[in-house]
Amino acid sequence: MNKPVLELQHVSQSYGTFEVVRDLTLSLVKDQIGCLLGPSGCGKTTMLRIIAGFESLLSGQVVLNGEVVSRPGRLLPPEKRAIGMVFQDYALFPHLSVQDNVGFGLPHLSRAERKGRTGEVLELVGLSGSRHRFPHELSGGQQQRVALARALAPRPALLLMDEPFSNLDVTLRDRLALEVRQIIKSYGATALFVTHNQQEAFAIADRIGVMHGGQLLQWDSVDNLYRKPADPQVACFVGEGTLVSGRASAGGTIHTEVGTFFDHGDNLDNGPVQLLLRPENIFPDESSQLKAHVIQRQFRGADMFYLLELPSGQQLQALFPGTSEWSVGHSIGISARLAQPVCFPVVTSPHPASS
Amino acid sequence: MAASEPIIGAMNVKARLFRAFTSSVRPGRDSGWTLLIATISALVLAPLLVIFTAWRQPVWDIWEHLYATVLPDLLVNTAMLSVGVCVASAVLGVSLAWLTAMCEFPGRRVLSWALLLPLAMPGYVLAVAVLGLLDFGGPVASLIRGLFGPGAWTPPARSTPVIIAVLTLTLYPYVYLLTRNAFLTQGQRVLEAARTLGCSPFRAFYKVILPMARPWVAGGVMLVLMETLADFGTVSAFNFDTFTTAIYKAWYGFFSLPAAAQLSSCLVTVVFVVVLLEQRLRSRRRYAESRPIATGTRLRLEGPWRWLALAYACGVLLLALVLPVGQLMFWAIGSFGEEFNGRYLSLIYHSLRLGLIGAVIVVLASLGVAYGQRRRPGPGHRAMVRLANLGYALPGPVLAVGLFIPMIALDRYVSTFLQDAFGLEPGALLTGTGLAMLLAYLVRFLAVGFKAVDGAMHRIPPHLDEAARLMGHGGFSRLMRLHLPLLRNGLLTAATLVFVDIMKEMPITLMTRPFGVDTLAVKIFELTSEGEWERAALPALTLLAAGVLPIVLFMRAGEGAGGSGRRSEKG
Amino acid sequence: MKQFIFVTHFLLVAAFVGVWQTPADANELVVYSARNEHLIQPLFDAYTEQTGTNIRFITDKEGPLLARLKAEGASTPADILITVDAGNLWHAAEEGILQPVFSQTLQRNIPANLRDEKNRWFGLSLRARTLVYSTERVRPEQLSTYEALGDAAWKGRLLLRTSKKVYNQSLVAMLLAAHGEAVTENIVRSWVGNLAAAPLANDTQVMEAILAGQGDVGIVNTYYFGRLQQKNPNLKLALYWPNQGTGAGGVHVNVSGAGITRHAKHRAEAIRFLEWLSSEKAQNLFADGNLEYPVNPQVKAHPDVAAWGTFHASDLPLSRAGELQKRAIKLMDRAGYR
Repeated sequence: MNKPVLELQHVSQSYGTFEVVRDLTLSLVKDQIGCLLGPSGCGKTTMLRIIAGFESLLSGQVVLNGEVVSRPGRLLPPEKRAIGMVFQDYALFPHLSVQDNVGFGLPHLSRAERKGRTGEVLELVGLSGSRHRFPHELSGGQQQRVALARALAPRPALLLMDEPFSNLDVTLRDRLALEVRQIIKSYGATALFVTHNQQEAFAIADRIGVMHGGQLLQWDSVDNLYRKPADPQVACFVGEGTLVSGRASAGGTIHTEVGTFFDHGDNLDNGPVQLLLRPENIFPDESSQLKAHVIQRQFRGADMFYLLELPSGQQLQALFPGTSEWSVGHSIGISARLAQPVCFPVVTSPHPASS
Repeated sequence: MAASEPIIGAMNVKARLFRAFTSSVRPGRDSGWTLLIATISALVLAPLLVIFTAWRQPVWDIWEHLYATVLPDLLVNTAMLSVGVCVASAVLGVSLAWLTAMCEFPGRRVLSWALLLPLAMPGYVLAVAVLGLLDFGGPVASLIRGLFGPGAWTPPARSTPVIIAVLTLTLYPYVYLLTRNAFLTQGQRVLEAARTLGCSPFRAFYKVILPMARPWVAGGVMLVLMETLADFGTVSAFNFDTFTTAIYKAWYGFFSLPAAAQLSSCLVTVVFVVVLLEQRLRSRRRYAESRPIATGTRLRLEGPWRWLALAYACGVLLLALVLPVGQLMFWAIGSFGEEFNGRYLSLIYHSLRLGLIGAVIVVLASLGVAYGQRRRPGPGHRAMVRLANLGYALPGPVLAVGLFIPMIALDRYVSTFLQDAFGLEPGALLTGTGLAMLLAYLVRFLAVGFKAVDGAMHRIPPHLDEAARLMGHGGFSRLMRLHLPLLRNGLLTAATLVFVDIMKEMPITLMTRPFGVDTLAVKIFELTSEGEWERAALPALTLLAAGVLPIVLFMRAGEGAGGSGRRSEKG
Repeated sequence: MKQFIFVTHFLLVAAFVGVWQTPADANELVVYSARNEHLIQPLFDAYTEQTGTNIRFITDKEGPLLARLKAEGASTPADILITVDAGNLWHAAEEGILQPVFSQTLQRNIPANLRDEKNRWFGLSLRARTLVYSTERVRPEQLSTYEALGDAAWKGRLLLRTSKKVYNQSLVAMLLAAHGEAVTENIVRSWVGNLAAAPLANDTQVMEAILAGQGDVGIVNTYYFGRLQQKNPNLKLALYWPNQGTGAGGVHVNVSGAGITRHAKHRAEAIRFLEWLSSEKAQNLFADGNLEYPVNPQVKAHPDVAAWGTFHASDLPLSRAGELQKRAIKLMDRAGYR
C-alpha cells in the first residue's frame, strides 16, 4: 500500500463566524488524482489554499509526505512545501516567454539543465513549438497547458489545480480534461483539484470528495460515489436522480409508491426512508399499474430524457430509449427496477433533487 | 507615454485588426479624433519647434565659453543628480508601494494615502526648509556643536546627497502612485503562483511583481527624470549647478535667449532618447493584467518587520513633510503679523481656481487624446502623442517663452487681419489673457494627465467597446456611458496630479498670468526672490494645505470606490 | 448626469476665459516690474490716490520680462519697465525696448551716473554692495578693499553669494572696468581661494553663515543687512565701506530703476509717473520700503540706513556694468567662481 502524500486531519477554518471548512479529513496516496467537487461557495477553494499554505487554519492539521505543514500556530510558507499549483486564471507571468514561465520554478538548475527540463515538460504538454512565445500570444487551452507545465516542471510532491478548466469552452474542456489526466498519470504525479463540474471530476479523478457547506460529505472512488452515496446530498449532487419517500420494514423491505424493493446489505431501521431512483432505474411498462404524466422531454441522442409526474405529485426522472415518442401530457405506465437500492433514513426536511 | 506602449501591444490583436479594417473601410469616419490629437499635439509641439529653430543661429561663442569652463562640471552634476534622484525615487516609491499595497502592517491604511502628501510640497520650499534646518547656523548643526563642541562634524547642508534627498522626497510620490496602482491591480495571483514555484515573498517580488510593474515604475521614473532635469528652483536654493544653470546663465547672464533655447533643446533630446530606449527595451512583452483579479491576502508582516515597515514609512513622511512643515510653521508664526492680510483670500482663490480649471482642461485634453488613440490606434497618432508628452521636460520659463512667441505671432496675425478686413482693433486675444496661461499649463502638464488617463483607458478591455457598439452606442455616447464611469479613478488621479502641479508651478504662471492674477506660488516667488524666507513660509504653508486637500479627497474617493482599494485603477 | 458635468466644465472654462480679459483703459498705466510687488504696490496706490491714474502691473524676473517685451513688440501693453539692476536696464535699452525721455525734472532729481547717458532709463533707488563682517572675530581695521578680500589673511574666512546673481556680476564688472581682465581674474581667483564654503544662494545666507561662524566676512547688498538688523538690533555683524581712499574707486553701487517702453501707449502719463517717482515724497516711499538709498540727493535716507554712515560711492556710470556684464560672467566662470 502506498503511503499517503497528503493527509488532512480535522481541518477547520472560518472567516469571522462563517465556517468555510468544517472538520475536513482525507488522505491522498501517491500517483492518485483526487478531486474536491462541490457548488461554488462550498469551501473547496479555501481548502486548496490551506493546503498550498496561502491560508492558515483554525484547527486540525495538514500533513504533506509525513511532515506537518499547517496547524494552528504553524504555517510552512508555500514556497517551502514543494507544491505545484495551476490557478483558475493560470496566473502566467506576462513578462516572461513560455519557456521562462516553465523554467521559473527551476532556479537551482544550471542554464543547460533548465533548458533540458523545460523542453521535456513542454514536450509532454505538446507545446514544444511555442517556447519563445509570450502568454498573451497563446490560446486559452495553450495557456492552460503552459500553466500545467510550469507547475509540473519542479516535480512537485503534490499538484493542486483550482478550477483548471472553467475558463475554457465546453468542447475544449472535455478534451483537455482527459489530456491532463494522461499528462499527470504519465508524469507520475499526485494531484488534487477542485471543480464544480462533475463531468470534469469523473473524467480526471481517481477519488472524489463531495463538499457542501464546508463539510466533506464523502471521499471515495467515482464508482462508489455513484452507486453507494453516503448521504442524500451526495446522491443528488453526483449524477441525476430523485429521492422518493418510503417506509422500511423489518428484513430490509422498502415500500414506496413506485414499488417495493428489498435491501440485501445494510440493516435498515424500521421507519420512514428516502429511496434514490436514478433515471436509468425507471422503465416504460405498459402493463404497469403505475401511471405517470410526461411533463418534460429532452432529446439526448441515444436516449430520451423524461420528467414524469405521478398522481401523488411526486416527480421522477427517467431515461428511455431514443425511439420512444411520448409527448408532453401523455400518460404512460412505468416500473422501477433496482439491483441494489440506495436509501437513507428520513431527515427532517426533504431534499430537492438537483443535477 | 512610457506606460502606454506595452499595453497597446497588449490589446487583443484580433480587435486591433478588426478596428483597422473597419476604419479603412469607412474612411473619415473617425477623422475628428485625428484632428483633435493633431491639434493638441501641435499646441505642445509649437514651443518645442520654437526652441529647436533657435539652431538657425547657433551662438557658438557662448557654447565655446561654457564648454571651456563650466559645462563639464554641469554635465557631471546633472548626471549625478538625475541618476541619484531617479534611483532613490524608484527605490523609495517602489518599496513604499510594495509595503502599502501588498503587505499588512500597523498604520498601513493611513500611510497608504499619507505617503502621497509630499506631492503637494514644492521642491523649492522643501529645499529652503531643509537648508533652514541643516545649515551651518541651523538647529541641527547648532545642536551637534552644542553637544560635541564647536569643531564637531555637522551634516553638510549643501552636499550632493542632501540635494538628491530633497528632490527625491518631493518626487518619489509619482513612482509611488503609479507603482502602487500596478501592484494593486495585478499583484496577488502571480505572487502566489511564484510562491508555489519556490519563491520566497521577497524573491517573488523581485522576480515577478517588480518586472510586471515595470512600465508603471518606468513611467513614474520618467516623470521624476523630467522634473529633475527641468528643475531650477530647488537646485538654485542650494546653488548647485546643473544643466539648467547653463540655460539660465545663457539667458539671464548673457542675455541670449537663442543660446538658452539651444541648450534646452539638448535637454529635450536627451529625454526623448531615454524614452525611446526604455520602450525599445521592453519589446513585445506584455505587462497589463486586464482580467479582474481575484481576492488575495496581503502578506502579513511578522514580529520586528511590521515595526520596521512602520518606522520606514513614517521616517519618509517625517523627512518629507513633518520636519519641513515644522520649520515653516516656526517661520510663519514669526512673520504672521507682518505677512497675513486680506489679500490671502484672493491668492488662495486664484490658486485654487487656476488649479481647478487647468486640471479640467488638461484632463479633458488627455481624455480626448487617449480616447482618440483608442478609437484610431496607429503609428502616426502614437508618434504625435509621444512628442506631445515632451513638454514636461522643458524648464518652465523656456517653455513659457517658447509658447509666448507663437502666441504673439498668432495674435498679430489675427489683429492685422481684423484690422485690414473690418477696421477693428481687438488687442491681444491670447497673450496676457487667461487663455494663454491655460494653454501653457496644458502644454506643460499634458504628460502628467495623459499618463494617468491613458493607463486607465488601456485597462478597459476593447471588447467592451465592441459590445457597446453592438448595442447601438456611438462614439460620444460610448465615451459618456462606458468610458467615463470606468475611468473615474484614472481621471481623478490625473486631475489631482495636475491640480497640485499647477498650484506649485511658478515660471509659467509668472510669465503668462493676466494683470492682477496673483497666486500663492507668485507670492512665494515675490518673497523668496529677495531672500525673505521667513515671510514666504506662510504662503508656502497655505499652498501646501491647499494641495493636500485634493490629495486626501482623491485618495479617499479612490479607496472608497474600490472597496479594499483593489479595484481601483488609479494609474 | 455625466453629460451635465461635462457641459458645465466647458461653460466654466469659456466663462473664465471671457471674464478674465479686462479692456484697456485710457487713464491708466501698465508696468512690468522685476521689483517685488510688496515694494511697488504702496507706490502705485499712492500715485493712484493722488492722480486718479490706475496702474496695472505684473511682476517676474528680468529675463522673462525682457523676453516678453521683445516678443510683444509694438503690441505690448506695457508702458514702463522696472528692474532691480542697472545691467538689466542697460540690456533692455540695447535691445531697443526702451525709448529716450527728456525731462528736466528727471535730469535734476537723478545724478548723471545713476541714469542712462541717452536718457532711456533712470535709477530710482540706490543700494551699495559692500562688505559685512563679524563684530566678534573681525576688527574693521583689518578690512580695506574688495580686492584685499583675496589676501592670505582671509583664507577660509570669506563667504560669497553665487556668481549667477546679477549683483555680483555688476560688482565684478566694476572691478573689470577699473583693473582690466587679467588683474580682475586674479582677484576673483584669490576670492575663490579664500572661500570658507561654496558660494551661497543669497545674501541673507551669507550673513547667517557669518553669524553661525562658518566664515568671518562677506559681500552683501546693504538692504539685506538692514532687514536682518531690524529683526535683531543686537546683530553681531557690521557693514564696512571699502575702497574709500583716493583713487580706490569707492563702494560699488547699483540701482533699481525704470524706463519707458518704446511702444508705450501712455507715454506722457508714464513720464509724469517717473517724475513723480523721483520726487521727494515718492523717493522715500520707494527707497525706505526696502531700506535703500534715495537717488535724489535732496531726499534723506531712512534713519536706520543713515545710521550706517556715509561713504564714497563709485562714480563709474552704471551702464558700464551692463556693457561689461558678459565679460564679467565669463571671467568668473574661468576663475571657478560658481
